[in-house]
Amino acid sequence: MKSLAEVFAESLMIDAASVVDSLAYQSIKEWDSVAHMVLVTALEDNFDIMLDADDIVAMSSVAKVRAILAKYDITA
Amino acid sequence: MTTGNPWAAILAGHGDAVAVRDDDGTALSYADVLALKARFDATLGRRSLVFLRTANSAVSVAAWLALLASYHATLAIEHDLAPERLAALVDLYRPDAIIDPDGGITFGPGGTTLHPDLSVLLSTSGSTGSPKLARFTAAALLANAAAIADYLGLTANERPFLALPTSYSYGMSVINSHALVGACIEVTTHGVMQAGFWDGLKNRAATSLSGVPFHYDAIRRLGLDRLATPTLITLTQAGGKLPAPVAAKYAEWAAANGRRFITMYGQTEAGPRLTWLPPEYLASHAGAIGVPIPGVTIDLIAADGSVITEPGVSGEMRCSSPAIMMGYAQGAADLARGDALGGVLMTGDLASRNEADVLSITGRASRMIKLFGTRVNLDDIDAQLARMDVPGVSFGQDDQLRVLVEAGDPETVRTALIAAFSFPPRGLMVKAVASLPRASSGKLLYGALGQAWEAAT
Repeated sequence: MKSLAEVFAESLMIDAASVVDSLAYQSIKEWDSVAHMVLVTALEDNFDIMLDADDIVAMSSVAKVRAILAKYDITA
Repeated sequence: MTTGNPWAAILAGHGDAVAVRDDDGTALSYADVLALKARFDATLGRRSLVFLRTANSAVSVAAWLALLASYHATLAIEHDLAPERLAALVDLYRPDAIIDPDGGITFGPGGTTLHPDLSVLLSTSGSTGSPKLARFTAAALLANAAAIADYLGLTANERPFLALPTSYSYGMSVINSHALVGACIEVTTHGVMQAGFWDGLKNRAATSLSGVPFHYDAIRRLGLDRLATPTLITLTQAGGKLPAPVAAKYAEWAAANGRRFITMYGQTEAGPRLTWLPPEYLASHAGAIGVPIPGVTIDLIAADGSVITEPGVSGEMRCSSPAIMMGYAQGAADLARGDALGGVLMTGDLASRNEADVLSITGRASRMIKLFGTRVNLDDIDAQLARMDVPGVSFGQDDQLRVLVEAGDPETVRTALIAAFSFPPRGLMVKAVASLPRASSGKLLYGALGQAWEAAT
């Protein structure tokens, strides 16, 4: 299983070092709605979960994604 | 040219009705739009070439409408276009003024001669800031807006929820067609994958939503029931081909929930709308682009130039419409030119008709691809590579822009291209090869690029 930072880096096609908790949706060009769709699928595949639509639209930062994954009993 | 711009009287007729509202709740009326027009006119002093940097805010949309109704010639460009691309456009076309999304005016070099009929300029590929522009008269855009208002049955009670940019011909046509009938345009900066988008759609009582195929893919992932707000009736789709199974799913949902889902086709050069698929056709013709909108006729032209009459045979679409552009511009001198096309456009898209006269796209003849609904001219990408002094070439297909480079770090090239343009970055991939496939003459072998791509790591 990949780390959360690795999933982010691969989905957004960015450097893993730039995946920090404060990184927010639309704060960089690479995190737009197209990349968000890719990210959702990658999170689901990697952590073997099915994300709820309300969670998908609430994933507004790396920290928020981490908090949402915790609801699915995933420590990432 | 003494005939006034028809838009001014139309907007004046809507009085104090709200024209546009944004995420912050800022609302501006049609009277406010005309006041803004008066302010622009006073500051600019005389007929000017204006670059309008557009954003999805009430002031920006009002500025667009003010300029549309004015006697100035306006190029709408995305506010986040890279500064060097904007500077290149300023050098090339020498605008008299640049207006920011907040309405602020900066004077430019000026001195470009404008044809009396010229009203609006749209980039043929806004996301790349393409210097190749489509030239329009005010009457052409009015004709297209009227046709759209007609087939969609728009009234002043509509509240379209708009996340598309004004500088994108589809977004512009949503604004123009609703301004024509005095409706309130609900603009948003939120993306379809953000909670704010869905809160806005519901809380602002939107009656319609416009999206490109990517948006409808994303909404499907989130669940179509999110669209079941008490007020949302109409869903329109343009900006690329929606896969037939997806279109069919929306058709089924719309029929079961008393909504309407309408797929459409157009081209920036056509002002932009050309065809629509009436909802009653959707179940039996999912994936088709439909029938010409009012005022438009479409002929399919065979390779030998003859008009195809039999069903099922592909040909290039030749469209006649009052909304066809005057022609392209590649530099300031072209803005002095009059109508070069006479209302007829060869679209570069191939289509066929079935027995019921419903059109379907079968291919594309030009070097344009769509990246998640955004039109990208591959020549612009190649020009940027040349400016960066990177030997390479772009190619690809819809939603996959590929760049092969002979030298340089692919990651660095990718980052630089993303910074230069405003298309969705996820659609761009860069790979390095030792050498690009070339004929002995040195000419690039475009047909072999796909193979070279697969072989590259």
